[in-house]
Amino acid sequence: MNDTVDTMNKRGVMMMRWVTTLGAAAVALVTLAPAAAGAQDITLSARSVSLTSDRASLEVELADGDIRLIELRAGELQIDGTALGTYETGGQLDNAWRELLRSPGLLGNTALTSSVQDWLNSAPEWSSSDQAAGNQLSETLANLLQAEAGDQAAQAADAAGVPEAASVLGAGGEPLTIAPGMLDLDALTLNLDQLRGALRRLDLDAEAANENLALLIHDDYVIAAEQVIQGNLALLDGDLSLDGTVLGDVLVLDGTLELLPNAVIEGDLVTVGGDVEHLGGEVLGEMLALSFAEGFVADFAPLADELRADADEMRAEAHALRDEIRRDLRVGRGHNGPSGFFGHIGHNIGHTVGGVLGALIWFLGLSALGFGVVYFSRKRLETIADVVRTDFGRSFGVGLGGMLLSLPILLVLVVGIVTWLAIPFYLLAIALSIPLAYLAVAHAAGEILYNRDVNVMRRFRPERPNSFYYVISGLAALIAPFAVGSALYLLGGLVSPIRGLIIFAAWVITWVAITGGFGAIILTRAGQRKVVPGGYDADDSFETAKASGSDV
Amino acid sequence: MSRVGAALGILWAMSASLPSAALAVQEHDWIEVRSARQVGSVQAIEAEIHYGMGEITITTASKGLLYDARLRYDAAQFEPLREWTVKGGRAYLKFGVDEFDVDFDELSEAFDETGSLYFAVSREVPTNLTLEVGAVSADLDLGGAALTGLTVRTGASETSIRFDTPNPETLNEMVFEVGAAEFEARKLGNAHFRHLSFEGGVGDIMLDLTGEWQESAEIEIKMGLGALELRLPRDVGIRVTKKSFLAAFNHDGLQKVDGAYVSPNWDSAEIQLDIDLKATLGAIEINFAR
Repeated sequence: MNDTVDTMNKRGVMMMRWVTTLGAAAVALVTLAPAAAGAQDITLSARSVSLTSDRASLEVELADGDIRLIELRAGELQIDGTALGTYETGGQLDNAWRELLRSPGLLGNTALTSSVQDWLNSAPEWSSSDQAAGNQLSETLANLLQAEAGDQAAQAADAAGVPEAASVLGAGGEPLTIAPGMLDLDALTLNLDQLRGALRRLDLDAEAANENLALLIHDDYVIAAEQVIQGNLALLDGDLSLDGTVLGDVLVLDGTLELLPNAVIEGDLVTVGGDVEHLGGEVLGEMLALSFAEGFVADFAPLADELRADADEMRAEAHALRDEIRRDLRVGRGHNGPSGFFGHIGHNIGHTVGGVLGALIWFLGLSALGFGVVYFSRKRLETIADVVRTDFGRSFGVGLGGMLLSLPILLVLVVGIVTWLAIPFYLLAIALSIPLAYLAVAHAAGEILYNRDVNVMRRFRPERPNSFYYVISGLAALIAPFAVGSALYLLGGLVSPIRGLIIFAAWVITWVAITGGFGAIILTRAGQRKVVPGGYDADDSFETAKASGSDV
Repeated sequence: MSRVGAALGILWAMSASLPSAALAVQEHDWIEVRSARQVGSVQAIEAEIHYGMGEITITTASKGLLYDARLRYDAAQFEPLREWTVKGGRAYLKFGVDEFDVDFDELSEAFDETGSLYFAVSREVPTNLTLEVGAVSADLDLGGAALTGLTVRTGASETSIRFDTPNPETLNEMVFEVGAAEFEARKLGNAHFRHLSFEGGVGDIMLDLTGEWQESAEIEIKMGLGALELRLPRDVGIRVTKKSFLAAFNHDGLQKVDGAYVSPNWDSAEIQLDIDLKATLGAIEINFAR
């Protein structure tokens, strides 16, 4: 077997070559269309002819059943009732048209076609008064003949079972067959746009070159078992039944490709749109489908419906078995599985490590924040912390009230138009006060622990404590319940009630601390005013004493 | 006061910039590619599947197909990988996602709509399958696949492997390298492997060694941290050699002989499974199938 190397980029180059070749085919068709039309045996049927003094009309029935009415009437050319030009009554055009309509046997099946063709071929230069209508009439008749040629070719192809094909030259001068003969250029353009869009979305390299595109199919077509396509094949639309051999690649842009048992594709089968039905056959290369919506455009696993049904059944049985095993396993683990510390260590270590790490991260983050607050604003923090430490009940009450009032105050700010400007600052103040409150409580807690000389803290007890020490030790005390609660995951389900209680208590402590600290912030006006227990305001007392001349 | 003002200004600017950052949404470009090949004249295939994040399904292909692969990926973030080579009747395939270039700002959105990979292995042509996946949910239904080699490397994943029906080939080497994962492999006896190497980082692991054994095999297991359950068949001989540190070991049904744990039928069994177990921290439980 020959070595083969295939990558997505190579596929992109190949497909871009096809785009180029298909584009060239479109150009070739534009050039060849009139010639192809003239080569057909066309039959127009005249339904009726009417000749009166001011009217000469012809009613034509087309192969698809459509009726067209062409008439010179009272100085106007009318096509299907629409005026398209004027003529001189009794003039050159009027006489020529009446002569055509008087042709012998005009209502026969073939006479009209030959008569119209003769009339077009011998049409003179119309006089200036008849020129616009004369040219329009000639063009209308020529179009009728051309359209009829395409329809009748398709009908003939259907009747014969083998479509007509037209040969043109591809982009590189190699022969390219279009089947069936006539091609809707709009459809080709649409397909080319579709392919280009697909390639752009795949971000594939584009290389303009010619590829060996031998057959371009745009409508229903059959390639019989003995037929061999000497190159690539593109299906733009229609149903293609492939029972023969394609020596190159097959590209499906739209329509349905039916691969029959004798089909052989020696290259790749690329599906960008449309469908592929595998009823057998052999694809020696890759079967590649691209899709940009839900589902795939091609089914590569065709074969018999029975096989699919078997596969579905097996899959269902496997899933049922899997579910049963899972149920057994759950039951087994519940009653007979390991228990205690080691039994669930695998699951529980993750919870423990996650919880303790989380607490540690919070501790480090808040410590860093506390370090900054102490460094930049130690006095204020100490003022707030002193109130927390010496009058926590009052602080908590004020904090609770402040929290309850925070929303109504926000509503007042929203209602007052001028006060809107203050809303961001208000929200920012609330947001900043929460960590500040927590840090102030941590400071107070650290100071209390230091003063009480707690045993476990003795090792870390400095000779001269400061606010940094108080904040960090206080934070450790406040966050420790979270870490302890998380660590209890290690002991598994036995201690889960205790673990839950500890975690709950930790959250309650946190809320109480923030509320108390918030109240202390309000009482001290963010640490600007000293407050003594019982409502005594040192600054006010000082001012009062000073005013009364007392010795302060 | 000026320092406080400056700090407030910075915080104000940061808070103002947050909404605009959150509104920055990256474009997605979801594409589906399906690639398949008929067996043709290929006599063996080595398939490598690479996949970073999403869902992955491995199963068996329909009759006549060498493989059948489907990939759904976001072209805005991933590069597809599709390579094919044939040398002397042996095919080499790489399929999946090449680059793993995720914008982590978009992770939450990416999880809302993930990509997926489906790969079907031939039942007829001997296949050496390698699967390298990252953060995925992987489901491998390999019953009936013609496997001569299997390597599965996973990152943070939830992986399930099954061999519900026997492998028509002999699987010389089966390798599982598992990171932080939940991993279960069932009916491994149907895989017909000669040597299994399992290396696990952190996670919950279940290895079910039941199935239709055809020949003896060696199994090496290295566990880092977590729980390991070994489900063993009763009709083959079992010997477990264990080295562990801080790991609980429940070995009901095995007797300790010369430093190893053996099943009662070890000496008489035609087919023997020799299990070398190394565990660091966690729990090891051995169960015999009913």
